[in-house]
Amino acid sequence: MTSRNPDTEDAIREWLADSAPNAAPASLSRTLDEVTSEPAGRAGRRFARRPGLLLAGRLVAVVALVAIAASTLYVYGRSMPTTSGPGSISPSTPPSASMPPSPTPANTVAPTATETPTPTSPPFSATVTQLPGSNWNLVSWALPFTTQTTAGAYQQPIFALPSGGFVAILPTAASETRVFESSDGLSWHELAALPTNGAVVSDVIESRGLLVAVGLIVNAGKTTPTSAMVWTFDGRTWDATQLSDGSMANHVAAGPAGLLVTGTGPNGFELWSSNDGTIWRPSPQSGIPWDADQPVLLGNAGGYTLAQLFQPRVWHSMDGTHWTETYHAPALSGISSYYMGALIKAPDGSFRSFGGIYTGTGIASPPLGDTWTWTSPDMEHWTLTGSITNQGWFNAVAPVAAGFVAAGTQAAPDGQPRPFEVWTSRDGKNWQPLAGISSLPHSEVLAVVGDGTHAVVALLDGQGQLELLVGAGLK
Amino acid sequence: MSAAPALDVAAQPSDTAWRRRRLEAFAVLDEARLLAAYRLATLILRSRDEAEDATQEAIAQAWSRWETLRDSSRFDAWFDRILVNICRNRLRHARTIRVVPIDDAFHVPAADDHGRTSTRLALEPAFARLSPDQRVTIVLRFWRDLSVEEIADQLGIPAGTVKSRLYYALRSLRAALESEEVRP
Repeated sequence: MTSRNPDTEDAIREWLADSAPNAAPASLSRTLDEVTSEPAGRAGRRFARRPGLLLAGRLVAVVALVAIAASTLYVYGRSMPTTSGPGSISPSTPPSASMPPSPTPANTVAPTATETPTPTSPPFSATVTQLPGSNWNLVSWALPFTTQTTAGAYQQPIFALPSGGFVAILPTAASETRVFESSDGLSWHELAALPTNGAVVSDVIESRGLLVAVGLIVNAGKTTPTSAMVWTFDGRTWDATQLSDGSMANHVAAGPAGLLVTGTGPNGFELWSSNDGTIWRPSPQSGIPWDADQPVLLGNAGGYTLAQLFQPRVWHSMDGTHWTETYHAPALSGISSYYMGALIKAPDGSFRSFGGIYTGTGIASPPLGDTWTWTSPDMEHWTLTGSITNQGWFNAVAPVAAGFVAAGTQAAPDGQPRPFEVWTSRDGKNWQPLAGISSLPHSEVLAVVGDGTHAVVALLDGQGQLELLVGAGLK
Repeated sequence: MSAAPALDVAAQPSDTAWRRRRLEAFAVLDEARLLAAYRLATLILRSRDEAEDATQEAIAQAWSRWETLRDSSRFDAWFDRILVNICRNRLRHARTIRVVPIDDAFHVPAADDHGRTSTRLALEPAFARLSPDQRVTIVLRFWRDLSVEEIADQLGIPAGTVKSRLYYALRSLRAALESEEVRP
């Protein structure tokens, strides 16, 4: 090439202008006409659930019940392994006496028992590099399946387990979703893959010996782009349950009324419940507005808490059905809007959320890198308690026994973002940058998770490869 | 579309005020605005078929969630936000990011426009490798000409996050252009 490329920004503008279509397809006008002329009873249900769903759900339930009855081992006879070794699965343990199989009422869906493929990939050759002067390691090639060519690279790929250790759930370019487990974040071994192609997992918990994952599957070629799904793993086999056609499941939590899953569908906020993680039903609820914006969900013996993070609002419920609003962020003068971060349990038993503010058009920018903190003594009542000034932008925060670990972007004095940063804090107020990070190349922070003694920061490097920054001994 | 939706309030089964207001609000979705929305989706998704589906989905979703529009004077920004979220979700849920080949899907520059062709050859795959959020940010900044604060407002994210996404997306695209520049 002989001529010099024009300035990057001009080249991008020119390229975008060249590739913009000159006319809209007629189908858009037709869609608009159809949608706006719908009778009142159908308003808002352009992508309504198909009438056959309930019948199909019942059929699935019947088939699954037969399968469950024939092989209760699948569902109740195994427990989630919590120790790892290459290719190992923990011995099964008997089911808890407090966890009898639930009767299946009408309008419930049960998992389809599917033979899960056995992992065949060889052990990985991870490269572990200790950061100078710290107990943190950079782990490359531990999980080589995530690349930038798969959508899952941009989901949260790793989840911490309350009993210790981590699971990674990674889509592959072949539409499989593969699952890995680690006790320390450094060495990983593969568990059975999800039995459903096109799966995207958004949340995972451990409950009564089952690993419960929620998310969606992509409905290729259908008018409903996604279906909300739950997958349960008993230590050997994954079972898949379709919660709803046309929806997506976002979060899962366990509490006094069993398991709850939140989701979003064509009619807004949705909720499903299960006593045992295997039989699921749409859950009636009162108190949550239909347009609650993908709220996060926490649960413990004291009930359930739902939090809408943007334009923060918090609701609490003991039974998962009747919800009471316990916090509604007030409008603040001069601030367009602000947001809470994920709700996390602090080492001292209280709860924290690290959020921030964003500016609207015409409103002066806030100081660079301010983070706002909310605290709650009980997960139910929340108070905006202060801010961390000019620290950087926290993408995610996780609790560890020694306090907190955060990862995000550090603001440089010239206003430009610097490569990612990791901070640690004992009290959630005073934060210290992690030594040795500045020598690493830029990566995008995908997630920060902690299991008590270990923390894992999941990073996407410039080549689309998943890398892990693992801290140990964080007591 | 030949005309905006008729405001025949009497034809509505229930003559409620909000239904009338909703029809009035949607009357602004004329041909020009539909084309603008379709263009935005096409540039983010790099596929006209996908963009058509996404825009249709945005129309339906906007209609069903009209009550979330607090200020009717911000209809355009509200509708764009719905559309952009749909595009992001489609990119995130797509099993593979498609690199659209140079074919009749897009305008192909004339043969003598060598510089633009090579720019296009460099940018198309580089853009496909960006994350969904980076793609959205690039299109809003350089197609819609929105400021960092306006993008933050539109997406509901901190301005710093917008700056960060722009910075790293531009760095990737610049590297692609420079590698094309040195190619013999």
